Amino acid sequence: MWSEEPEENFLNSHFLYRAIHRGLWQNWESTDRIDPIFFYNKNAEEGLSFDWSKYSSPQDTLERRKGNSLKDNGIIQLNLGKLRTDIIQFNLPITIEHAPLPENQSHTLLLGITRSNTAKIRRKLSKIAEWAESMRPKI
Amino acid sequence: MKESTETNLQEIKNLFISVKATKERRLEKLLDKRVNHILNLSENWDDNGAEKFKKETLERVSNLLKKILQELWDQMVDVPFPLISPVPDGSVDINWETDKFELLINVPAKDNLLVNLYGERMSHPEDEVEVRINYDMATQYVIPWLIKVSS
Repeated sequence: MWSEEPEENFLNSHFLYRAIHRGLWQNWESTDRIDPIFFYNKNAEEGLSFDWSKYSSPQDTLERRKGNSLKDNGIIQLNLGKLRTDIIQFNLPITIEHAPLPENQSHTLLLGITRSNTAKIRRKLSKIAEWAESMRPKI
Repeated sequence: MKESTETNLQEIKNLFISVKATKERRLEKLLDKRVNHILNLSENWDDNGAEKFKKETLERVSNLLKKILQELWDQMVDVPFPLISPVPDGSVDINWETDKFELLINVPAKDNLLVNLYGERMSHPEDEVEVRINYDMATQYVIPWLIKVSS
Protein backbone atom coordinates (compact mmCIF):
# COMPACT_ATOMS: atom_id res chain seq x y z
CA MET A 1 0.00 0.00 0.00
CA TRP A 2 1.23 3.52 -0.84
CA SER A 3 1.73 6.05 1.90
CA GLU A 4 -0.05 9.40 1.76
CA GLU A 5 2.15 12.39 1.07
CA PRO A 6 1.72 15.83 2.66
CA GLU A 7 0.36 18.77 0.68
CA GLU A 8 3.79 20.45 0.55
CA ASN A 9 4.97 17.65 -1.75
CA PHE A 10 2.57 18.99 -4.37
CA LEU A 11 4.83 21.47 -6.14
CA ASN A 12 3.52 24.48 -8.02
CA SER A 13 4.96 23.06 -11.23
CA HIS A 14 2.92 19.85 -10.83
CA PHE A 15 -0.43 19.10 -12.41
CA LEU A 16 -3.62 17.30 -11.46
CA TYR A 17 -5.28 15.28 -14.22
CA ARG A 18 -8.93 14.35 -14.50
CA ALA A 19 -10.77 12.25 -17.06
CA ILE A 20 -13.83 13.88 -18.59
CA HIS A 21 -16.34 11.37 -19.91
CA ARG A 22 -18.04 11.86 -23.28
CA GLY A 23 -21.41 12.20 -21.56
CA LEU A 24 -20.25 15.68 -20.60
CA TRP A 25 -19.23 16.89 -24.08
CA GLN A 26 -20.70 14.50 -26.65
CA ASN A 27 -23.19 16.96 -28.15
CA TRP A 28 -20.83 19.88 -28.39
CA GLU A 29 -19.86 21.40 -31.73
CA SER A 30 -16.27 21.69 -30.54
CA THR A 31 -14.30 20.98 -27.37
CA ASP A 32 -12.66 24.42 -27.17
CA ARG A 33 -14.31 25.10 -23.84
CA ILE A 34 -13.55 23.79 -20.37
CA ASP A 35 -17.00 23.76 -18.80
CA PRO A 36 -17.84 24.14 -15.09
CA ILE A 37 -19.78 20.86 -15.32
CA PHE A 38 -16.42 19.05 -15.45
CA PHE A 39 -15.89 19.80 -11.76
CA TYR A 40 -18.82 18.21 -10.00
CA ASN A 41 -20.22 14.75 -9.60
CA LYS A 42 -22.38 12.78 -7.26
CA ASN A 43 -19.52 12.30 -4.79
CA ALA A 44 -17.82 15.70 -5.15
CA GLU A 45 -18.51 16.68 -1.55
CA GLU A 46 -16.40 13.71 -0.40
CA GLY A 47 -13.63 14.92 -2.71
CA LEU A 48 -13.22 15.36 -6.44
CA SER A 49 -10.82 12.77 -7.87
CA PHE A 50 -7.68 13.68 -9.80
CA ASP A 51 -4.38 12.02 -10.62
CA TRP A 52 -1.16 13.69 -9.48
CA SER A 53 1.51 14.27 -12.13
CA LYS A 54 4.22 13.05 -9.75
CA TYR A 55 2.98 9.50 -10.29
CA SER A 56 0.82 9.72 -13.38
CA SER A 57 0.85 11.01 -16.93
CA PRO A 58 -2.28 12.12 -18.79
CA GLN A 59 -1.99 8.90 -20.77
CA ASP A 60 -2.01 6.85 -17.53
CA THR A 61 -5.16 8.69 -16.45
CA LEU A 62 -6.81 7.89 -19.77
CA GLU A 63 -5.78 4.24 -19.61
CA ARG A 64 -7.26 3.79 -16.15
CA ARG A 65 -10.69 4.61 -17.53
CA LYS A 66 -13.02 1.88 -18.74
CA GLY A 67 -13.39 3.75 -22.01
CA ASN A 68 -9.69 4.38 -22.50
CA SER A 69 -9.76 6.19 -25.83
CA LEU A 70 -10.23 9.86 -26.68
CA LYS A 71 -13.60 8.96 -28.16
CA ASP A 72 -14.80 8.15 -24.64
CA ASN A 73 -12.75 10.43 -22.39
CA GLY A 74 -10.64 13.58 -22.62
CA ILE A 75 -8.08 14.50 -19.97
CA ILE A 76 -7.91 17.95 -18.43
CA GLN A 77 -5.09 19.30 -16.32
CA LEU A 78 -4.93 21.79 -13.47
CA ASN A 79 -1.63 23.43 -12.70
CA LEU A 80 -1.07 23.51 -8.94
CA GLY A 81 0.59 26.93 -8.99
CA LYS A 82 -2.44 28.45 -10.72
CA LEU A 83 -4.75 26.58 -8.38
CA ARG A 84 -2.96 27.91 -5.29
CA THR A 85 -3.00 31.45 -6.70
CA ASP A 86 -6.78 31.19 -7.17
CA ILE A 87 -7.28 29.70 -3.72
CA ILE A 88 -5.60 32.76 -2.19
CA GLN A 89 -6.93 35.42 -4.58
CA PHE A 90 -10.55 34.28 -4.51
CA ASN A 91 -10.58 32.83 -1.01
CA LEU A 92 -11.58 29.36 -2.23
CA PRO A 93 -12.05 26.81 0.59
CA ILE A 94 -10.19 24.09 -1.30
CA THR A 95 -7.56 21.72 0.02
CA ILE A 96 -5.50 19.11 -1.81
CA GLU A 97 -5.22 15.64 -0.28
CA HIS A 98 -3.13 12.77 -1.55
CA ALA A 99 -5.40 9.72 -1.31
CA PRO A 100 -3.58 6.82 -3.01
CA LEU A 101 -5.55 3.75 -3.97
CA PRO A 102 -4.02 0.25 -4.13
CA GLU A 103 -4.15 0.40 -7.93
CA ASN A 104 -3.37 4.12 -8.29
CA GLN A 105 -0.62 5.84 -6.29
CA SER A 106 -1.39 9.19 -7.92
CA HIS A 107 -5.00 9.41 -6.74
CA THR A 108 -5.65 12.81 -5.17
CA LEU A 109 -8.74 14.57 -3.89
CA LEU A 110 -9.77 18.21 -4.10
CA LEU A 111 -11.75 18.79 -0.93
CA GLY A 112 -14.09 21.63 -0.09
CA ILE A 113 -16.49 21.71 -3.05
CA THR A 114 -20.04 21.71 -1.70
CA ARG A 115 -23.52 22.46 -2.99
CA SER A 116 -23.37 25.86 -1.35
CA ASN A 117 -20.21 27.02 -3.13
CA THR A 118 -20.44 24.96 -6.31
CA ALA A 119 -21.03 27.79 -8.80
CA LYS A 120 -18.06 29.97 -7.83
CA ILE A 121 -15.54 27.14 -7.41
CA ARG A 122 -16.53 25.34 -10.60
CA ARG A 123 -16.37 28.61 -12.54
CA LYS A 124 -12.89 29.37 -11.20
CA LEU A 125 -11.57 25.87 -11.84
CA SER A 126 -12.90 25.96 -15.39
CA LYS A 127 -10.88 29.12 -16.03
CA ILE A 128 -7.51 27.65 -15.05
CA ALA A 129 -7.95 24.11 -16.38
CA GLU A 130 -7.02 23.08 -19.90
CA TRP A 131 -6.95 19.93 -21.97
CA ALA A 132 -3.71 18.08 -21.41
CA GLU A 133 -1.50 17.96 -24.48
CA SER A 134 -2.88 15.56 -27.11
CA MET A 135 -5.69 14.64 -24.70
CA ARG A 136 -8.52 16.70 -26.13
CA PRO A 137 -11.42 14.35 -26.86
CA LYS A 138 -12.35 13.48 -30.42
CA ILE A 139 -15.89 14.46 -31.35
CA MET B 1 -48.64 65.41 -38.35
CA LYS B 2 -50.19 63.89 -35.23
CA GLU B 3 -51.56 61.04 -37.30
CA SER B 4 -48.12 60.40 -38.81
CA THR B 5 -46.47 60.29 -35.36
CA GLU B 6 -49.08 57.85 -34.11
CA THR B 7 -48.55 55.66 -37.18
CA ASN B 8 -44.79 55.64 -36.58
CA LEU B 9 -45.26 54.74 -32.92
CA GLN B 10 -47.57 51.90 -33.89
CA GLU B 11 -45.02 50.64 -36.41
CA ILE B 12 -42.27 50.70 -33.76
CA LYS B 13 -44.55 48.89 -31.35
CA ASN B 14 -45.38 46.25 -33.96
CA LEU B 15 -41.70 45.81 -34.75
CA PHE B 16 -40.89 45.38 -31.05
CA ILE B 17 -43.64 42.77 -30.68
CA SER B 18 -42.46 40.94 -33.76
CA VAL B 19 -38.81 40.88 -32.63
CA LYS B 20 -39.82 39.63 -29.19
CA ALA B 21 -42.01 36.92 -30.72
CA THR B 22 -39.08 35.76 -32.86
CA LYS B 23 -36.82 35.58 -29.81
CA GLU B 24 -39.48 33.67 -27.87
CA ARG B 25 -39.78 31.12 -30.68
CA ARG B 26 -36.00 30.69 -30.75
CA LEU B 27 -35.94 30.25 -26.98
CA GLU B 28 -38.68 27.60 -27.12
CA LYS B 29 -36.73 25.76 -29.80
CA LEU B 30 -33.51 25.91 -27.80
CA LEU B 31 -35.23 24.77 -24.63
CA ASP B 32 -36.97 21.89 -26.40
CA LYS B 33 -33.68 20.67 -27.80
CA ARG B 34 -31.69 20.94 -24.57
CA VAL B 35 -34.43 19.69 -22.26
CA ASN B 36 -35.05 16.63 -24.43
CA HIS B 37 -31.34 15.87 -24.61
CA ILE B 38 -30.93 16.13 -20.84
CA LEU B 39 -34.07 14.15 -20.05
CA ASN B 40 -32.93 11.36 -22.36
CA LEU B 41 -29.64 10.88 -20.54
CA SER B 42 -29.72 7.50 -18.85
CA GLU B 43 -28.52 6.78 -15.34
CA ASN B 44 -24.70 6.77 -15.05
CA TRP B 45 -24.40 8.92 -18.19
CA ASP B 46 -20.98 10.16 -17.03
CA ASP B 47 -19.76 6.62 -16.27
CA ASN B 48 -19.28 7.83 -12.70
CA GLY B 49 -22.68 7.28 -11.10
CA ALA B 50 -24.51 10.31 -12.52
CA GLU B 51 -28.20 10.52 -11.78
CA LYS B 52 -31.05 10.50 -14.29
CA PHE B 53 -32.71 13.90 -14.57
CA LYS B 54 -36.17 14.65 -13.29
CA LYS B 55 -38.72 16.33 -15.48
CA GLU B 56 -39.50 18.78 -12.66
CA THR B 57 -35.87 19.99 -12.55
CA LEU B 58 -35.95 20.79 -16.25
CA GLU B 59 -39.32 22.52 -15.90
CA ARG B 60 -37.83 24.74 -13.20
CA VAL B 61 -34.86 25.53 -15.44
CA SER B 62 -37.12 26.37 -18.40
CA ASN B 63 -39.45 28.54 -16.35
CA LEU B 64 -36.60 30.41 -14.70
CA LEU B 65 -34.87 31.13 -17.98
CA LYS B 66 -38.10 32.21 -19.69
CA LYS B 67 -38.92 34.61 -16.87
CA ILE B 68 -35.44 36.12 -16.94
CA LEU B 69 -35.21 36.56 -20.70
CA GLN B 70 -38.77 37.78 -21.24
CA GLU B 71 -38.33 40.43 -18.58
CA LEU B 72 -35.03 41.51 -20.11
CA TRP B 73 -36.59 41.68 -23.59
CA ASP B 74 -39.48 43.74 -22.23
CA GLN B 75 -36.91 46.18 -20.91
CA MET B 76 -35.07 46.19 -24.25
CA VAL B 77 -32.02 44.47 -22.76
CA ASP B 78 -30.43 42.01 -25.11
CA VAL B 79 -28.40 39.11 -23.73
CA PRO B 80 -27.48 36.00 -25.68
CA PHE B 81 -29.02 32.63 -24.95
CA PRO B 82 -27.06 30.82 -22.25
CA LEU B 83 -25.71 27.29 -22.33
CA ILE B 84 -27.93 24.80 -20.53
CA SER B 85 -25.84 21.92 -19.24
CA PRO B 86 -26.53 18.77 -17.24
CA VAL B 87 -24.48 18.38 -14.05
CA PRO B 88 -23.79 14.82 -12.89
CA ASP B 89 -25.49 15.32 -9.51
CA GLY B 90 -28.86 15.80 -11.25
CA SER B 91 -28.76 19.62 -11.14
CA VAL B 92 -28.64 21.82 -14.25
CA ASP B 93 -26.37 24.78 -15.08
CA ILE B 94 -27.57 27.90 -16.88
CA ASN B 95 -24.33 29.43 -18.03
CA TRP B 96 -23.60 32.76 -19.72
CA GLU B 97 -20.07 33.47 -20.90
CA THR B 98 -19.95 36.77 -22.77
CA ASP B 99 -17.40 39.54 -23.33
CA LYS B 100 -19.13 41.68 -20.73
CA PHE B 101 -20.07 39.22 -18.03
CA GLU B 102 -20.21 35.62 -16.91
CA LEU B 103 -23.02 34.15 -14.88
CA LEU B 104 -23.44 30.58 -13.72
CA ILE B 105 -26.80 29.60 -12.23
CA ASN B 106 -27.05 26.09 -10.81
CA VAL B 107 -30.61 24.83 -10.40
CA PRO B 108 -30.65 21.89 -7.97
CA ALA B 109 -32.46 18.61 -8.49
CA LYS B 110 -34.38 18.94 -5.23
CA ASP B 111 -36.76 21.85 -4.84
CA ASN B 112 -35.92 22.27 -1.15
CA LEU B 113 -32.31 23.14 -2.05
CA LEU B 114 -31.19 26.65 -2.90
CA VAL B 115 -30.26 27.90 -6.34
CA ASN B 116 -26.56 28.69 -6.38
CA LEU B 117 -25.31 31.49 -8.60
CA TYR B 118 -22.00 33.16 -9.29
CA GLY B 119 -21.46 36.11 -11.59
CA GLU B 120 -18.65 38.39 -12.64
CA ARG B 121 -18.63 41.54 -14.74
CA MET B 122 -15.44 41.96 -16.75
CA SER B 123 -13.16 44.67 -15.34
CA HIS B 124 -15.67 45.44 -12.59
CA PRO B 125 -14.75 43.30 -9.57
CA GLU B 126 -17.20 45.31 -7.47
CA ASP B 127 -20.06 43.66 -9.40
CA GLU B 128 -19.06 40.11 -8.44
CA VAL B 129 -22.01 38.15 -7.01
CA GLU B 130 -22.14 34.85 -5.18
CA VAL B 131 -25.59 34.01 -3.89
CA ARG B 132 -27.58 31.05 -2.64
CA ILE B 133 -31.20 31.85 -3.03
CA ASN B 134 -34.65 30.31 -2.97
CA TYR B 135 -35.80 29.35 -6.47
CA ASP B 136 -38.84 31.64 -6.28
CA MET B 137 -36.63 34.63 -5.44
CA ALA B 138 -33.95 34.00 -8.05
CA THR B 139 -35.40 36.19 -10.81
CA GLN B 140 -35.65 39.16 -8.45
CA TYR B 141 -31.91 38.95 -7.98
CA VAL B 142 -30.73 37.86 -11.42
CA ILE B 143 -32.71 40.29 -13.61
CA PRO B 144 -31.44 43.54 -12.04
CA TRP B 145 -27.90 42.17 -12.03
CA LEU B 146 -28.11 41.24 -15.73
CA ILE B 147 -29.55 44.65 -16.60
CA LYS B 148 -26.68 46.31 -14.78
CA VAL B 149 -23.88 44.26 -16.32
CA SER B 150 -25.35 44.31 -19.85
CA SER B 151 -25.35 48.10 -20.05
